[in-house]
Amino acid sequence: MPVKERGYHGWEGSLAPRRFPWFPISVHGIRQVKEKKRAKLLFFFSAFPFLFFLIAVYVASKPELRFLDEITRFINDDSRFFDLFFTRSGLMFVLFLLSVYAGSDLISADLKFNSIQLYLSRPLKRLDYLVGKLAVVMFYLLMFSLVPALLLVVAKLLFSGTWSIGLSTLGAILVYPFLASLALASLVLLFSSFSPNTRLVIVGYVGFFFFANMLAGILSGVVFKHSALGLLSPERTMRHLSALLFGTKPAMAVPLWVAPLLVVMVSLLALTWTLLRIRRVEV
Amino acid sequence: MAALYSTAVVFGFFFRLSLHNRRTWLLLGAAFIPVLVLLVARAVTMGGTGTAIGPVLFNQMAVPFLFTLYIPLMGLLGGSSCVGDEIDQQTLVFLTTRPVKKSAVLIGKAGVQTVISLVIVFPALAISFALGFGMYLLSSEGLARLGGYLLAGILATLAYTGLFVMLGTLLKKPVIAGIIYIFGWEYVVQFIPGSTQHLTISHYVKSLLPYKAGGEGFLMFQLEPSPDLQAVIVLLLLSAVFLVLAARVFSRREYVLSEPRI
Amino acid sequence: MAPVIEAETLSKWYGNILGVSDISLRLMPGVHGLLGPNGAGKTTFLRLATGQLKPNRGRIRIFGEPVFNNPGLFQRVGFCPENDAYYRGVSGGDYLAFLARLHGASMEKARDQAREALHQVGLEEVADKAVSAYSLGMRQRLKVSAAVLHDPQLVILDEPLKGVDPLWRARITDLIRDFASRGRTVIVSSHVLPEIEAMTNNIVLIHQGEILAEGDIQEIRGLLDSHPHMISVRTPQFRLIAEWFVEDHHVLTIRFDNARQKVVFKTDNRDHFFGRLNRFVVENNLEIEEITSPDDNLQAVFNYLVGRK
Repeated sequence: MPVKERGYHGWEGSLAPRRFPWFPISVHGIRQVKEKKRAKLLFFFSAFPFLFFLIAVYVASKPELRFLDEITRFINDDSRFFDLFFTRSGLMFVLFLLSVYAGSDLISADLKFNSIQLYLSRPLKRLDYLVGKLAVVMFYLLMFSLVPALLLVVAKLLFSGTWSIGLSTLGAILVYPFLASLALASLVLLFSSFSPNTRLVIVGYVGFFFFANMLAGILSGVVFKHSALGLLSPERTMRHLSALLFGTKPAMAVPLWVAPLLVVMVSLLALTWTLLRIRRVEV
Repeated sequence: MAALYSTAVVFGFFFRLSLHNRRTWLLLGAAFIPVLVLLVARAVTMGGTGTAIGPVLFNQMAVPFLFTLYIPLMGLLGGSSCVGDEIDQQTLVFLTTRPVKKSAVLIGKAGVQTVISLVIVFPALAISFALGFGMYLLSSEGLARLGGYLLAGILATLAYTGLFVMLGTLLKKPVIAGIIYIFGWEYVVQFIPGSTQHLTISHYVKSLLPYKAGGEGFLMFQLEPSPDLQAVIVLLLLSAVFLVLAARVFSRREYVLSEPRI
Repeated sequence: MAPVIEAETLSKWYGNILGVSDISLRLMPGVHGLLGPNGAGKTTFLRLATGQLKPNRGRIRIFGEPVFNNPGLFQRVGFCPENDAYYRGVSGGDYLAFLARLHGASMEKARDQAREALHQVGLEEVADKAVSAYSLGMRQRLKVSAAVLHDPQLVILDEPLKGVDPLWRARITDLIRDFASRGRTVIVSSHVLPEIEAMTNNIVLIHQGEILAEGDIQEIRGLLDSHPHMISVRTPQFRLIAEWFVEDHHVLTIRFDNARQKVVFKTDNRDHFFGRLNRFVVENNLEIEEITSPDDNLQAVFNYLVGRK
């Protein structure tokens, strides 16, 4: 009998190691998100920043549309183009919404229906469970950040006919969405592990982001008048990260390396905390 | 009369239940974040150049926090929970198989959410004001100004709670829609020319705030604020319309107690 | 006599999933058992009967009145839902007092009614404890008491004995019978035949959203008795027993399970089979480890009845 079928029965054999035990959790989660109500509508609107930039690339490649040069001149600077795409196109809000939609109930619903125990009664570690859930959110976030960015690279290549994108920009295109998705996915999972009430999870998560932005503004602009406090804002930190990766002008007078360090640390902290929350669940 | 009695019974029961709910205390704590920041800021700037930082912090931090974030989110959480909690916990059947009009149940529950929100928001607003303005609060002008903020707080709470109670009766996932409304629509219309801002609750709430300044975000007006009386009437009307619609929908709709609603 | 519940061509579906289909039914005063396997449509029917759902087609009336959005009706109707739901942070006593107040009782009367209702189901000692601290069986008893709290003329109980221990099963069964003896109507659903049998002889068999049979339980029993039965006997001497039955023409097939030392008979006369088996076991002093009837359950009856349709 396969181990998976054995449920709560005692089993004394040794487990054959599987490379990705979390994979079935991810596949199941990805399917569930796709089948949620109004998922297609949300995905459609999530593609708007990409569509807008795609049109811009097309317009810039047409000599007869030169009169739009004023609007589309940012397109010729690849670094600036992708910096704008990631940080100023509304993509951040889109990714934020997607993280709410795909991630808020991932652990919360399991807490509500006591299904974490069911997962952990299988040959799965708590870490596998967490990685499985993380992969669900990452999948959707990368789908609407990394994939469109790569499509824009292809579109630029096709429309201009020459390869202009530098290797460092290409690297940044790969790294930025990954780090942004990791941070959002980790945070939403942390909030999801706080309560079995998904509504409370969403409101807490949204409140945290918007309050952090507000607080960063007031502390850096009014109270302490030090732009480093802008790093309290997830949005500003992501812009700072983008400035580092794409070599654009940062808005804050803070060393650029602080941004990736902060993003990675916050992500790791959130994931560790989530893991501790899952550890509290008794099997 | 019977409906009023039922509403009062529902209100009493769920109010007591809310007091035992950890969520209520968590929200109470969150409302005092601006108070904490104001305290820290005052301590940090004490003995500084003498810049009047208190009023600035109150206007640029406490007011936006409470009026653009906290009250709408409280309305969203409380309003959508009126029906959502009953469906999630599968307890709706206990209320709908009793000789009580469904509208009385809904209004009783919405009343609890409104009162809880106000009980939380009032002290947070008053203490923030006191910390921001100090002795000015004791003057008649200061009191009138605080009264203005409190009135705006009451009407904003009523309108947002009403809107999200209605959304909660209509939609299976009212929270996502609510977030899109609060942080999408109410934000975006600030940049849309014309009188589109009239289609938001925040426009009328902002119009009622005693302090109106230019600048970024919440307090930026591309459209002139509406007159106070008009804003009061519109907010009251909106609250009433939302609640009546919610009660009608709730009475006529069936709710299948199975999948979780977010 | 006017029916208490009257359903006409009642149908309900959830998207593509059928809940109940074309049910026409008239239930007169008395106790009625709604019997069906899990997923048969019992709960959907009871939800339609209590106005929680709107029918897609047809109509349902209680005491001649429509049910959906008719709260006044619930002064005369009590309902115990199937799901294990409760308000967190509230005690059993406060919860029942709240419900009594919804029926118009004053604060004091509501407390008295709650106390009396809790006493009936043996929960008076935990009246002040939070419902969340109750066991599943206790919560089930609380729901039953909530359904009869206001002494309604009709009580609808959806799986009321689920999770209740044997002692309280018997007491709740008595409570239901006592309630009916006072001229009240009770509709009780279950997927366990003996549970229903202990309460009433009137049953409605529901399967795949349709009413399969309606009437006296003895008739249904008769159907059950006349259809071939599987009987499994586990004993080290299982081949010896098989040999004894080989020539019995009421035994239709014999199957061996060597690994479990078991023999499975198919017989068309259960009483005759058990009579002979008992005699043989006693005469030969055999050691029997287990006798089961794998299909002596509701699903077998339904399969049989569906097959006959």
